[in-house]
Amino acid sequence: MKRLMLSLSAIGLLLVPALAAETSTADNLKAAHQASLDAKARYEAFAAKAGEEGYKSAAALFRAAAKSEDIHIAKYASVLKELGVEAKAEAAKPEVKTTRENAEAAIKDKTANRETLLPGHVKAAEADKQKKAVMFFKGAIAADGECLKLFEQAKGNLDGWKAGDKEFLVCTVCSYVMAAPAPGKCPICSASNEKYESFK
Amino acid sequence: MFVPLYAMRLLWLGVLASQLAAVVGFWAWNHVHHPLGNQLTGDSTAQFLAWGRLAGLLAAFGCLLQIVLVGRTRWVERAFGLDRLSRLHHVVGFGLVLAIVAHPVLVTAGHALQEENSFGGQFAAFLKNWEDVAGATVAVGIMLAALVFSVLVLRRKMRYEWWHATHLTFYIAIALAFGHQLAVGWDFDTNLPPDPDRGFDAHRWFRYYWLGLYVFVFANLLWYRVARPLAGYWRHRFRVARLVPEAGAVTSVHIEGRRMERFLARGGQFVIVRFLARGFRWEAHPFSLSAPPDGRRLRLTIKALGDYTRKIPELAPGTGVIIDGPHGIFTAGRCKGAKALLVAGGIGITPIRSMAEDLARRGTDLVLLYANRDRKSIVFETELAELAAATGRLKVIHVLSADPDWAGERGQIDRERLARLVPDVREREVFLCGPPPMMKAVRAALRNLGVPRGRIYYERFAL
Repeated sequence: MKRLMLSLSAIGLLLVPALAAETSTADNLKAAHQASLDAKARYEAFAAKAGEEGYKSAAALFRAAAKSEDIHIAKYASVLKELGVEAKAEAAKPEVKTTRENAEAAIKDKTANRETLLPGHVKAAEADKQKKAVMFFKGAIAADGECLKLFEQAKGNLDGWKAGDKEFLVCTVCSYVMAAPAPGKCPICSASNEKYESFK
Repeated sequence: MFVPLYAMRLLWLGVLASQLAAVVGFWAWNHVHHPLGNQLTGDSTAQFLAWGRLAGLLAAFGCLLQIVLVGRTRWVERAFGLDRLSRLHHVVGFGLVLAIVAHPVLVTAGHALQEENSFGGQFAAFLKNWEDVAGATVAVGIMLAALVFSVLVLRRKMRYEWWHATHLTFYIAIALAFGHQLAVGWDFDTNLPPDPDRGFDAHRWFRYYWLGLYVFVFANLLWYRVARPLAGYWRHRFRVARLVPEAGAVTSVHIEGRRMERFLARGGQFVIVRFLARGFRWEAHPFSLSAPPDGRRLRLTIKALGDYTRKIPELAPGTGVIIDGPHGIFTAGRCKGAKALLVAGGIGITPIRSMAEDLARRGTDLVLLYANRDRKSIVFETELAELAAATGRLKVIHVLSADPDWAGERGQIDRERLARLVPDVREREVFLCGPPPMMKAVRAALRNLGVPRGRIYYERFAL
């Protein structure tokens, strides 16, 4: 009996990492889904604030970033649904400051996503052989990278972003954010420009 | 510098294989390091797009290969001979259909899946929104039409001249497809965001490589097909000196020019000529040199077999001639032994005649079996007898298939006749030129008599 218990414990120990790995991607997807929900709400609030302060182009960029997050939310939710996991649909109340501070917060947010959070999710999803999750996390890394670049440009010359002369395009297929003029097709997923949504 | 044929072939095949590997390698690298993850192991959308792009790259690569094969590129031609390259061109052409059709089908299917569209709707969206897709669609149409016309001309249901004119539109198709590749080819897209994980910007390097490939192929084409023949004409000012009627419907065209001693050719080679006269100037045709160049003139011997060759006797002396060549590896230079057997059928005597002189003067022990229908069809009968008498190294045996008055050999050149007339055939290298059915039969008979495949050299007439 003692031997049987030991064997079962050993099997259990072997199974733990496998189960942990399985739950890891689902957990990461839930976390990413929640982070995107929060980010979407945050960028929408930032856009409203930028509009109030007269930074029209910055407002357009925040709206584009919110749209990009919205696409992530849908993608993560679709994989979670396939895994039989229910995703929460409530965003945290955003903390809104001045547009300059909001841009800094967005940069911090995107940097953390791109450099730490999402690469970790990718690794876990690769280990779990969750191809769709890998693709969506990588898509988010690409979109966040370009978004980060644009936020840094905005922060560097915020006064120049007062005029509403800038246009941003979001690929509704993969969520990639681009400043106009954009290429005829999405550089990430190759979707044609009819799939772009414009923000200005 | 003498480079053995096998070394030239290996070198050429090595170059081809390395270029193919580079194209597939760039494609694989791009798709493994795709911003959305490894597309080669991705979902069905990723697979459709990845393999569709590879089909497109291979189709374009195949088109460039086709140009090299028929571009009379000297460094390729010397390794294989234009007749073999021409046959390879036919085979690659039909293989290209697969890649040309697979590319739009797979890419459209991939995008239709990704963008939740119907196949037709997706293709319409491409035509409307993607740069150069309409041009590429025209290119695919031209390429497929060119292939259909090639089948028709092979089956003799279309005139060669019409086929040739339509085949030239292939260059328009290549230009249209090239624009499409650079405008929308994902593998050449330099708009991708920089990614330190990718190591190096493969898209940019692939674009440079691709441009280099096109420049290289078209530079070769322009040099070998246009500039070189024109430069030769400028240097030698080739002119028709005289026309000499030979037996049957055969005419020898003697060509003279300046500095002819610098026009170097071997017995057995051929040239592609364009006579600068009304009714001739728009066509260039290959003809064998029927005598080794003597430093003063060239001789082409042409049988009236079609519309073009029937007009040859109408050429006026003094007509200018653009000569592309010499071409061909079916030359006396390939004979390494002391004995050779030459086998000619009909007008296939032309390269054999010049080769016989070349070899006989080198002291090679020669037997020539020359097959014709009847005695009046024998071209160079007197000339060959004189050459045999002058050199003492050539034995000419005429074999006539349908001449009841002929006291010599009557029938076909078959195994029995070869064994009887050339008992030491296994010791000889064999050079063979004639109608395809005859060449096939003689090759089989020679193999049956124990002549190794590597000692039988032959060249087909048609390119």
